[in-house]
Amino acid sequence: MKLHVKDIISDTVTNSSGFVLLTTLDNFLRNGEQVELSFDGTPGLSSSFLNSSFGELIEKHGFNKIKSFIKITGLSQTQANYFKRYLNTCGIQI
Amino acid sequence: MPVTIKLRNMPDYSKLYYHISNNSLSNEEILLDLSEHGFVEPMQIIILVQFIIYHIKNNSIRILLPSQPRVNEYLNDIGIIKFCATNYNDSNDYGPITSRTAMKIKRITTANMNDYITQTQNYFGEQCPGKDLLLLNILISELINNVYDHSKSPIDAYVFCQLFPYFKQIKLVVADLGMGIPNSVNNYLRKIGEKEKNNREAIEWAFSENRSTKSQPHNIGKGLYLFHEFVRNNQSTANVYTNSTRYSITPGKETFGTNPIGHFKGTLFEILIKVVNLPVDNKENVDLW
Repeated sequence: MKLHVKDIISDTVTNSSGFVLLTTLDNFLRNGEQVELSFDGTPGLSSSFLNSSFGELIEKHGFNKIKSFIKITGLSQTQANYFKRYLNTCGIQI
Repeated sequence: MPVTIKLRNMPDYSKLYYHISNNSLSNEEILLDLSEHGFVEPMQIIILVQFIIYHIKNNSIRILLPSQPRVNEYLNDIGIIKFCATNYNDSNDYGPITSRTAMKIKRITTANMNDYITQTQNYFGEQCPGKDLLLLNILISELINNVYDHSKSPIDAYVFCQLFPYFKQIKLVVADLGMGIPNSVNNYLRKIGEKEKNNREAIEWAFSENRSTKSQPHNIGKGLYLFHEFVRNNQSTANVYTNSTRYSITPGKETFGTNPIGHFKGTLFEILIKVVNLPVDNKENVDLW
């Protein structure tokens, strides 16, 4: 299934939006469903948002499971660099 | 008789923080005398705004405008008086002040943060063709989130952002009247039973990788570390005023010194971003893995 971030949450910078995305993705992971998550059309990113969404998911499920079940697409190059840098600070190298 | 506060230059701004820190102006009439003020820096604008907002509920405030027409005109253009007068019913108009290539002064909460950031990115994107302004977006959101996650500011966060086209630089100021970074860090260290740090050590701790005063995973505090990394990589300049310390980041050098503004309360970030060092705007989308 393909999900568009902009259809799920109104921004990609706040903790509260991160939590909403976390809940959505957690449901897919618990059901063992693979998902493509597109960031196309989202203007920003912040560490608070990433902490509340992917940081929590990684804590809960481990990075390898996240990588196997969630394909992240539609990022601008700068967003992708920032996301990777965020993951580096979690001790994850891509 | 009103309490007159004369402001001519940066050292005079200590007077504003003195009154905020001591809460010494309850129900007084205040006259802010800017008549001899020279050029007004963006950080001075934000300090003025914070002082006015802090006192606006209980005090009558009058402003004696600068006698220099250019300074007077600037304050008028950026809408400082109008902003302070309407603050508590602030509109959702985030549009730019095109005559000054600046964004309007804004009181930012987590609820309106995204609108402000998106419009700022769009406006400066138009002014800086070929450059990707996402990093400005990220920088503002990291600093605003930091205010809400850590500072406990009584009057939210205030932001002012201006492009200086001739110098190809963007000046961004984000400030709060919260507890300040060293106090926030030491509150946390006390809570977990660790030894307290002096101001410098506490600031270094806060800007280090994976350090935070919040223990919840979603607030594990990478924001200031990533802010620091951006400033260094962009060869930008940043001054962080917090409690009695000023932490300065310039290309190839970082220094800690005494905050030149006495009685300082809260935290103020002043960042000068070099537009030429921002990444090229690349429309191509990519996968993360």
